[in-house]
Amino acid sequence: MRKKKIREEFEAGDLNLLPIMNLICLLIPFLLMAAQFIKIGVILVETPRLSRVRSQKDKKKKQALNLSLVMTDKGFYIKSRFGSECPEGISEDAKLCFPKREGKYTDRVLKELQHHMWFLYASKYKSDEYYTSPEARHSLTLIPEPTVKYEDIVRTLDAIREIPSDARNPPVKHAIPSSGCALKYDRTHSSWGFKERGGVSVRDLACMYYRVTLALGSS
Amino acid sequence: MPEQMSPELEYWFEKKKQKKWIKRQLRRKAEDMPLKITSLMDALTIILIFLLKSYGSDPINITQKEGEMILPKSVSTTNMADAVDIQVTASTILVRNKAVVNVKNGRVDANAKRDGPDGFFIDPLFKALKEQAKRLKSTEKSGGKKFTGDAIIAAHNAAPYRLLAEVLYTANQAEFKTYTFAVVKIRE
Repeated sequence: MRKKKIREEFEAGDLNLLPIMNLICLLIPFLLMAAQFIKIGVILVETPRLSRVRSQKDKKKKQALNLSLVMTDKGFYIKSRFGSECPEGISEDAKLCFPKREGKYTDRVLKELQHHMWFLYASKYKSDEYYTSPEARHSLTLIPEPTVKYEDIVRTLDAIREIPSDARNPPVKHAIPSSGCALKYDRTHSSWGFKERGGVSVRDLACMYYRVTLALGSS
Repeated sequence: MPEQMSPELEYWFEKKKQKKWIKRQLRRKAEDMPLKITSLMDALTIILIFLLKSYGSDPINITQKEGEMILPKSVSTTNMADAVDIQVTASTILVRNKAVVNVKNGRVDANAKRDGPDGFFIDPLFKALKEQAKRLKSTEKSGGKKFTGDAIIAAHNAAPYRLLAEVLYTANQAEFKTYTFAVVKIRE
């Protein structure tokens, strides 16, 4: 009886939804205009700095690997304190490691570069003796020529940051993770950059050279 | 009206009467019943929540336009942090959405540079960034967020590196020492 009374009372007072409908209809076009449907992210870069304790740094620099990647109109050059770091037999020109294809930095060129950088990172220069600090393992100097497009720089940054998806090498000792970069080797997938998200294993960005210093190359 | 109708005519009249009655009933019912907008309200609320979620999640708002400002795509998953944004479009350099200097064919006019056409120092950009640095430092002094010298560079994908280097150099002179490049995420 009481329940019936309550129901009757509830049914009698119909909620007037029109004002709130008006408000929502006004809000939706405004939000549609302001909404960003693309997700914007960032890549951290560094620029060369002048230091007061230069002499000490110079000493350290001499011992460091000093890996640098030069982007020119012809393609990529890779250098370290030991000289050119090109893959063996990939180019007739001893210095030009990865030439452009049809005048472009194609996906294939960048993929080859990525695999070679992984070889340098995880195999050739795996030992701690080449680095003055744990951060130095992830450091590289990128030297693009003045005419190189921003888009190509970002694609190159992606190629040298991300560990190739088919990389099978075991984890590197003393590697340090960074924001947006996982350094997790997943043994169940025998691959890099997997992490648990809501009980599911999801591929994450696993990085190698993420401390990139930008310098200006000469044309 | 004839006194005796044929059965067909009688049937037709009967049908017409029935239709009229149904129409009258429906009209009466419609008048009694208000418009049911609950389901529409549900849908609109869901849309509103989705739009509110996508609104204002990024600290800077970059409007992309073909040939003027298209950000390159990247696999980077790092989110933007609050910082002073410098946008380098095909025709302008903007600091916090305010145009400071014009760009033509990927170059800043030599008159806007302190050291001439080969120089790196862009005067109007330096002034605008110095002003931002001053403002942020005064906010820090009054107990606000600490000034860290962070800058977000959002550049058009066809911008030449020389122009970016000039922007980075000028920002460095104006006490902005940490840089991040804005990109469109292709991975969550």
